[in-house]
Amino acid sequence: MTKHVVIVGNGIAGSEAAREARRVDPNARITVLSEESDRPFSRPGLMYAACGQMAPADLFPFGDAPATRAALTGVDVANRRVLRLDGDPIAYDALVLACGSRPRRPAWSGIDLAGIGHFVSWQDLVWFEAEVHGHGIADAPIPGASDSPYRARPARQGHRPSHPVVIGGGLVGIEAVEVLVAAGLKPTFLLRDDAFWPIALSTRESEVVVERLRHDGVDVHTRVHVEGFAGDGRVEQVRTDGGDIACDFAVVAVGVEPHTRWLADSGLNFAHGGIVVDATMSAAPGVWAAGDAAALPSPSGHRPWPLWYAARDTGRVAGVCAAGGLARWERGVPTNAARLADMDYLTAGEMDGDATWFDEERGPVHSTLRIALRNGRIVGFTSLGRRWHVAAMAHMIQEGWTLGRVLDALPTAAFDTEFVTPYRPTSNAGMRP
Amino acid sequence: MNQQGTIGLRDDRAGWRQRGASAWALSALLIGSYCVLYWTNWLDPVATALGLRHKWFLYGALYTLAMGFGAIGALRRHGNSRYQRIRIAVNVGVQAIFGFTIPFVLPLVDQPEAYLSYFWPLKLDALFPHSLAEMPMGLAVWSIGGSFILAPFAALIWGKRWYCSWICGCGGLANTFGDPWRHLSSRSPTAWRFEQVAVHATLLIALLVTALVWVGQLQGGAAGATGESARSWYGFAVGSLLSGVIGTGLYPLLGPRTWCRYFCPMAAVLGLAQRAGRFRVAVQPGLCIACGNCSTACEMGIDVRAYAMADATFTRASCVGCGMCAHVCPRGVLRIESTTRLHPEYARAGHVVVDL
Ligand SMILES: Cc1cc2nc3c(=O)[nH]c(=O)nc-3n(C[C@H](O)[C@H](O)[C@H](O)COP(=O)(O)OP(=O)(O)OC[C@H]3O[C@@H](n4cnc5c(N)ncnc54)[C@H](O)[C@@H]3O)c2cc1C
Ligand code: SF4
Repeated sequence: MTKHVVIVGNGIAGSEAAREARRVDPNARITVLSEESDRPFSRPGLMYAACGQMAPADLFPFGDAPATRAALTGVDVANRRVLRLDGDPIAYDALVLACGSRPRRPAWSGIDLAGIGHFVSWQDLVWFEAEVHGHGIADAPIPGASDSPYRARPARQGHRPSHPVVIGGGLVGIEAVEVLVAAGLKPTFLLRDDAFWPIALSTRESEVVVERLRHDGVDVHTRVHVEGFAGDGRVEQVRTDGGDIACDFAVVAVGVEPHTRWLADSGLNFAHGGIVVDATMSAAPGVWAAGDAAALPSPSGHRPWPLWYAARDTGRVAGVCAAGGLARWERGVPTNAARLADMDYLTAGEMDGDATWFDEERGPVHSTLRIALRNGRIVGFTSLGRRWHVAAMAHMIQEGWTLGRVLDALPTAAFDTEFVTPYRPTSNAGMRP
Repeated sequence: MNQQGTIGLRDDRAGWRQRGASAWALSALLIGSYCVLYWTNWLDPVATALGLRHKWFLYGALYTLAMGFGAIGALRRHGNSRYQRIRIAVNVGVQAIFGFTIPFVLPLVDQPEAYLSYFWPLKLDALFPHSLAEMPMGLAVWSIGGSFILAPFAALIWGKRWYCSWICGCGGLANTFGDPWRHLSSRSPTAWRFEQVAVHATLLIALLVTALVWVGQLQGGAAGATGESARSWYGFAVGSLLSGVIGTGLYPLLGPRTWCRYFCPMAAVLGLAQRAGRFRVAVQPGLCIACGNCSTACEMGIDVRAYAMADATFTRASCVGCGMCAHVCPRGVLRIESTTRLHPEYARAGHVVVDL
């Protein structure tokens, strides 16, 4: 009998799950359901379409892999059915929940005013494009729940914002800022902390990024607590503890949370909003979860790990297991890469060692390098402004190399483009308290 | 200030770069200009009035200027990468010196018109018996040795980029004047298949025409006439139509490398050498976020992202090594390289474990 594998979500986790399920069971019937879009697209690539460097159609990594559009409202685990807003329930033999995350929406006064939004979904891109450029992007949203992150939002067209504001100093926030800069605007960037992205960057690294943003005309404010918005129909001001800030377009980027509220009655277990899974991504009999929606096993309990890389890998595991194969996910050495104010950012391992080695190069290449050590052995590596072979870094961390050995091996791990002056520690390089 | 290839995000929505009406108009203008150049003498008086002797020097001057101004634009977009700065400077320099100045100046100082020029099969004349006989000895050796030894050998070592995106005038125009349209190159599998057939077919035709001309020039008579007509037919179909009218005229609609990708016989030879050599686009495993910047920026229509997502370091015959995929990749996944040192195969620390 052919098995019916139903996959909720065509993000990277759902798409990889579908590919793996097909590989493991060539005869299975596989249904991919998505409220957001017909075709899988690269969420981390959204900003490049928003700034016009690419066309929206360039964001589709799997070409034409159409999903069935459906807004789902729950799962009946006992009877193996997913429930949808319009139409009959869909029966499954195996279910993969790869329903991703949604932007966090603080209970601020006036947050529903026009001109305020997020930068996470395809519909956000459409809204952003219309607000910032007055262009339309083809989109056919389907009716969803009233609080769905995939609902189309009306946008003011044909006016460029004169006072754009981005709230929230994380990766999505800085991307929204960079898109506005590319559009020739000078956004205000409101950060709650003393520095940009302090959970990942050291003070000096944050300063380097903020210096670059300021150089591009971004008005960066630190230690600002947003209290709400004011305006008559459309946003006119951001209310903060330090006074009102003029604003006619605001992006709220204060983090994401698993998009699992619609699963509240399913009887699944949740941790920090994510669906609790084991190393095989199994959540309940016949149910697997993966990607941003899952709470993955970690040394400190189950937690969501909302990263593209984790979503891709856990999606593969869930796809194999749901189709009847065997696979297991291992956390390994965490790695991540990003681009911050046009500087390559790369990190591996954990940065909470008992000692830190730091170097900053200035000159033709502006870069910083930070190595976290515990008992004299490398546990983490963070670099801005240069490219490194990330597997090499992970390897050194896994094997617990000493600082001397790491520094000796750095040339073999360089991945800079050709003709970039090779990295050599500067005279300022050394241990930092 | 960084030598690294930072993107420098920008807004590219202008219609002339996105097949808008202005792009069609520009394309029509380019095609029209090429027709006037190739098939009328209208430009000769203009050239004489400007002191440029004949229309071909007027064309050479305009070509070099287009490259120069295009280079300014290309460097504004990509000049934050040192690879791009050096590459574009060399390419424009070669055109200005070897492509225009030397050929223009030699007759002025009463020297024979013998200078370093294109190799066979880009320039079939380079290997015809009569033209070889007229060359000074050194140049004839250079012509033969360059075509059969130097060019393919260098492609084995550095990939075809040493020629296609550092030296060649066609490539130079594509990467300067044509740079704003690089994202238009088709990524469809059909285009790839057409490319494989078309580029090798042109190479075979070039071989055939060369053979006919050889036989003709050595035997004379009827064979000589056949050779001459093959040569002039090739000059019309490949030299004028494909490389000029279509190749350059369609920049604003099909991207700047139409000639190089689908028809250039030199690219076909160098591509074969490149496949056998050590040039590669190195991919860091597990780092790609599928954003598509690399594929969008590829002027040869290579779907770089597909390789990057599959963690596959690759060499494609068509890749001209312009380096733009690595330049625009926002996660540092890609690196074009031809070093002998491979990246150490560090164990991938912890990922999916599939045990089927
Ligand atoms: C702007 C931005 C930049 C980012 N950059 C990076 C980066 O550089 N590096 C990195 O590691 N991570 C990055 N991330 C995070 C990364 O994109 C996510 O971790 C990843 O996309 C999660 O994939 P997923 O498949 O789990 O879920 P998602 O991509 O969120 O997909 C969720 C899917 O579920 C479907 N769905 C959800 N609920 C329902 C429902 N009720 N009914 C029907 N369908 C439903 C949706 O239609 C959608 O298809 C970024 C995120 C954003 C927003
Ligand atoms: S290789 Fe780089 S540019 Fe290409 S899709 Fe992946 S992350 Fe994007």
